[in-house]
Amino acid sequence: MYTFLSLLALVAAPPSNGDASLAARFPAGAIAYAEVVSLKPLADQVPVADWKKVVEGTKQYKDFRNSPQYQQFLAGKQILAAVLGYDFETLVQRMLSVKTAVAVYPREGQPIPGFLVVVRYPDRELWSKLRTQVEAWTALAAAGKTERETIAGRQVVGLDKKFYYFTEADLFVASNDKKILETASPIIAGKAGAKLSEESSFKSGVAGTKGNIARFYLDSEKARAFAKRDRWAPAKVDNFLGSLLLQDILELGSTSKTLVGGIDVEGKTLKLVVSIPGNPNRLGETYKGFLLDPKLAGSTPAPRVKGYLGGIVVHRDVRELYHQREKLIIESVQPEFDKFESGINNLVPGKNFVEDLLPMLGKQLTILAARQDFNDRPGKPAIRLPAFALVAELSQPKEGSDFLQMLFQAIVPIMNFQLKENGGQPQLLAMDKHNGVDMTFARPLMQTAGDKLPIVHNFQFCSATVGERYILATSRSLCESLIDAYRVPSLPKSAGRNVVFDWNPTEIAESLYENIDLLVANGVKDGKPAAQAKEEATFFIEALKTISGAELATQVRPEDFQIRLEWTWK
Amino acid sequence: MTLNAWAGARNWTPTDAAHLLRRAGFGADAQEIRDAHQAGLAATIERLLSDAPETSEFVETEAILQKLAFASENINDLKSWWLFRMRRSANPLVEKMTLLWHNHFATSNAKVRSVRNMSAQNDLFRKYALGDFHELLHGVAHDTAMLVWLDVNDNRKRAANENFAREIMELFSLGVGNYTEHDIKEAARAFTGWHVHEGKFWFDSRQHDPSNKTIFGNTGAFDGAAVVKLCLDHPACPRFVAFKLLRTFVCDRPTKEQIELVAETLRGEKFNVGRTLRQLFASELFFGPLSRAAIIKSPIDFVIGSMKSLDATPKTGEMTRVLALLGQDLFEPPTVKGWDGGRLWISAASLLHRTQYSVGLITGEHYGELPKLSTISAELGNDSERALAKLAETHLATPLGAEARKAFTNHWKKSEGDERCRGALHLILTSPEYQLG
Repeated sequence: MYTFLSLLALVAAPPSNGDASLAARFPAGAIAYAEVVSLKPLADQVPVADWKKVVEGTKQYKDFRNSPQYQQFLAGKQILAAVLGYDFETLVQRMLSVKTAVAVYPREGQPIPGFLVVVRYPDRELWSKLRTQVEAWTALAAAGKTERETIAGRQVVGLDKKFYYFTEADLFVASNDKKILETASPIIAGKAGAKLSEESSFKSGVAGTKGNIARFYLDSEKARAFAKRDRWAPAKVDNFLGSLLLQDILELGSTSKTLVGGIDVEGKTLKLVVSIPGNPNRLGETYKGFLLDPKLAGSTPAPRVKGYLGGIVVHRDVRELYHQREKLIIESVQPEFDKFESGINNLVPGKNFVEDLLPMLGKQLTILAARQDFNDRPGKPAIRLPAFALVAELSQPKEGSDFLQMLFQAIVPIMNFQLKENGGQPQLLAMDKHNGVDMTFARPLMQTAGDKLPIVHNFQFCSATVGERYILATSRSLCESLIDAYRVPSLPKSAGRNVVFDWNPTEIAESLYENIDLLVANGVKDGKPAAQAKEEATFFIEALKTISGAELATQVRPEDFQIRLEWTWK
Repeated sequence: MTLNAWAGARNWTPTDAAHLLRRAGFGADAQEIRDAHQAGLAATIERLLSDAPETSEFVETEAILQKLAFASENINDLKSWWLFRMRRSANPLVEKMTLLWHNHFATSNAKVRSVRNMSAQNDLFRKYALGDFHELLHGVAHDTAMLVWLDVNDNRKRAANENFAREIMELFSLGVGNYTEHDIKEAARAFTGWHVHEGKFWFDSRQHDPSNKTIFGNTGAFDGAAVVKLCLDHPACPRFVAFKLLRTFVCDRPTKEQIELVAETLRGEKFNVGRTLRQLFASELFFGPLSRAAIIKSPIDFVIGSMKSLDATPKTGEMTRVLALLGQDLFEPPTVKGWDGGRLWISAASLLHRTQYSVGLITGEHYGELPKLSTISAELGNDSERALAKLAETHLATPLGAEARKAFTNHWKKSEGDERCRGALHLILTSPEYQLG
C-alpha cells in the first residue's frame, strides 16, 4: 500500500515557478539523490504513434484486447475519469511535468538506509484531487494502522510505524524514517538548515547536468562507508577481455568520491551521461595502458562501410596492459597467458609473442560487423551471417604485418583439418590486389551454387595491410571495403574517446529479416507454434526499425571520466 | 501358418484402442483414444496405414525446422526436426517405422558428419517405412551416410574391406549364425568399388573385383546389388526382419514360434511391411495378454508418448538433451548395432532421469506447455476411482499396483485444481507401470 500511495502521489505534478531542482528541499548528508525534473521533453519526441502501431499488431496485444483484464483496465480508466474528472490520456499528459526526487540517507545502527521522497505538483488542481484520494485511501485501506502527529508544525500521517508522509498545496513528502522527515520539514518550508544543494561536492558534481530531464548523484565515499566496503569492485578481474574493455571504468568508479549522472533529450536523441569527477589519469602507472591521460586519449571511429551493423573501437596500449597483467588480473588466470603465448609461438616458429608481436602493435583495435550480399560468390548460405573484421593498428607496419600474415597462413591449414573433420570443404589460400593493396584470402576449393548452403559458406577469410593497419575479415568484400575506407591518408580522431561501441538498428533489422525463418525455427524449438514465433520475431524487428542508432562511449577529460550513451530514434 | 485374427475385436474397448495407438505410434491423448474406439479396430488400422494428409501448419513448421538444420549443420537441429515430426505428424506409424529402421540400420552422425546425409537417410527410411523391405535394403546399400559410416572408400580390389559386407549380413538382413566368414569375404569383394565421391554413391569400376565369388553356396561374378539380393532371398532374412517388428510392436522377447508366424506373413506379403503390419495389428498375437505391457518403453516412447498423452507442446530443443540423457540420442546411436533396448533401457541413472523429466514436464517448466491442468482435473470429477480409470486408460498399459492406487485415492481426495491433477500425473508418470508400453 505504501507503494500505491507513493505512486498515486507521483501521478501528477508539473514544475511550478522555475525552481528547476528539488535538491534545495533536501537536507545535506545524502548518500544518493535522484530526480526527474520533467518527462515532457521526452514524451514530445518519442514516436508514440509508431510504437503503438507496432504493439497493436502483436498477437499478445490482440489477446489482451479480448481478455477480461482488458475489460478491467477499461473499467479502471472510467473510475479514474469519474473520480478525477479527466480521461486517462489527459491525466497522463498532465503527469508528465511532475517533478520527483528521492534521496537516500544513512541511519545509524540500521542496516537499511532511510529515504526521503518529494513530489512537487505544479498542477495544483490535479494535486488537490489526488490529495483527496491519497487521504481517502489512507483512511480506507490502513484503518487502525494510521497515526497522526505534528512534526515541525505539520500534520504527518504515519502508517504502521513504517511509512510517514505529509502533503501540502503542491507537495507530497514521504519517508520511512520520522527523524528524516523532521530534519527535512524546515528545509522544505524554506527555513534555514544544511541543504543538499549547498554541499560543495553535490554542487560541482551536478553542475554539468543542468537542464537535464533527470539526474542522479551518488556520494560514493559515504555509500562505501555505509556499506562498510573499501571499494565497489575487486582490484583484479578474472579475464583479459574484461580488463581490456572495462577495468579503467571499474577502478575509477570503485574508488571515486562521487558519481553523477544525467539524462537529457536533444531532438530525437536520448542522452545518458555518467560522470566520474576528477582527472582519470590519477590511477597511475598500473593503468597507464588504458591511456587515461587526456592528451593521449582519442580514437579513430569505425568506418561506416556498406551494410555496417555495428562495431567497437578500443584505444589502449595493449603491450603495456599485457606487461601489467599480474597487477590487473587474478593469479589463477595467469597460467592461461603462458598457454596463449606458447600457442602463438608454436604457430610462428622462431618468433616470440611478447618480444616480437606486442611491440609491433599500435594503440587501436577495431572490431566491426557488416551485412553481406554474397554477390562475390556463386552461392548463398541459408543462414546469412554478417561479415566480421578485426582491424589492428600497427606501430611497425611492415614487421607487424608480416608476423600477422604468417599467423594467418598458419591458421588456414589448421582450419582445413577442422573442416575435413566436419565434412566441410577445404580452403585454398589465394592472393589478389584491390586498388593496389595486396590481399590474401581463403576460398573454398569448389565454388558451390545454391541459396541454402551450409553456414560455413558465410566465411571467406581475407587479410590485408593498409598503411599502418592490419585487416582480418571474414569476407573478401568487407576486406575490400575496409581497404577503401582506410586508404584515406589521415583519418580524423575523436578526442578523448577511448572505447566506442555503436550499432545500426536499420541494417540489423534487415539482417534479421533475411533470417526470419531461422528465428521462427528457434521459437518452435522453444515450444512456440510457428505462427506465434513468427509474430514475435516480426514484432522485435519492427521495434528495432523505429530506432535509428545507438552509441556507448567513454570520454576522458581533464575534469572527469564519462560514460556516454546516446540513443536516437526515427 | 498364419497370424490368427484377434477374437476380441468385436468387444473393442478404449483400452484396446490405447494399446494399438501406443504401439503403432507414440501414444495418444484421451480424445484420440475416444475417436479410435468410436471408429473401430479395422478403420483405425487402415487410418494408421494410410497416407494421411498433414496440416499446412505441420508442413510449414517442419520445413522451417529442416531448413534450420541444413543451414546450421547442427545435428541437434535435425533432432528437433524429427522430434517435431514424431510429436505432430498425422502419420505416427510412419515415424515409428522410421525410428525402427534408424535403429536397424544404425548410422551415427558422429562419423558421418553431415546433417544433409543423415537427413537424406532418414527420408529414405520414411519413404520405405511401410513399403517393400527389398527396396529399402537396396536403397540403404546405396545411401551416402551408410557408405561413409561403413568405410566403403577403403573397400578396394586389392584390399577388400569387410565392414559393409559384414553388417549387411549380420545386422541388416540375416543375423549371426546364418552366414560364414567365407561368405563375408566373398561379399566384400562384390562390394569393391562401391564408393562415395562428391557426397554421392559412385561405382568406381577400376576398384571393383569382377571375378567369380561364392556366397551362400551360389557362384557367379556377383556385384553389390547381387549380394543384397542373395541376402534378401536367404530364408533367414524374413525371420530377422520379423524379430525386429515383433520387438517394436509386440514384446521385448519374442518366441521362435512368434518369429516364424510373422516371418511367414512377411514372406506371404512379399516383404511388404505395411501389409504385414495390417495383419499383425489385427491379430491375437498383437492384442493377446502376453503382448500387453510387454515392452519397456524406449526413451523416445517415454518422452514423445508423455507429450502426446498430455497434449503438450514440446520444446524440442530441450527434448533432444533429455533423450541423450535417457540413452537414446537420435542420429547418434552408440554402435553399429544401434540401441539394444528392452531391459537395458532401465538403469538406476536412467530411472532417475525419467523421474526428473516427468516432474519437469508436469510442472510445465522445462519441456513445453501443458493444457490447463485444472480443466483436466475438473473434467475427471471428484470420484477418485473414476478419475484413476480415466487417466489409466490414456496413460497406462497396465493398472497401478495396490499401494500406488491407495496413494492416488488419498491424493485425489485431499487436493483440488491444478495441484490435484499435477500430483496424480506425477504419481502415474513416475510409477514402474508407466515404464511399460
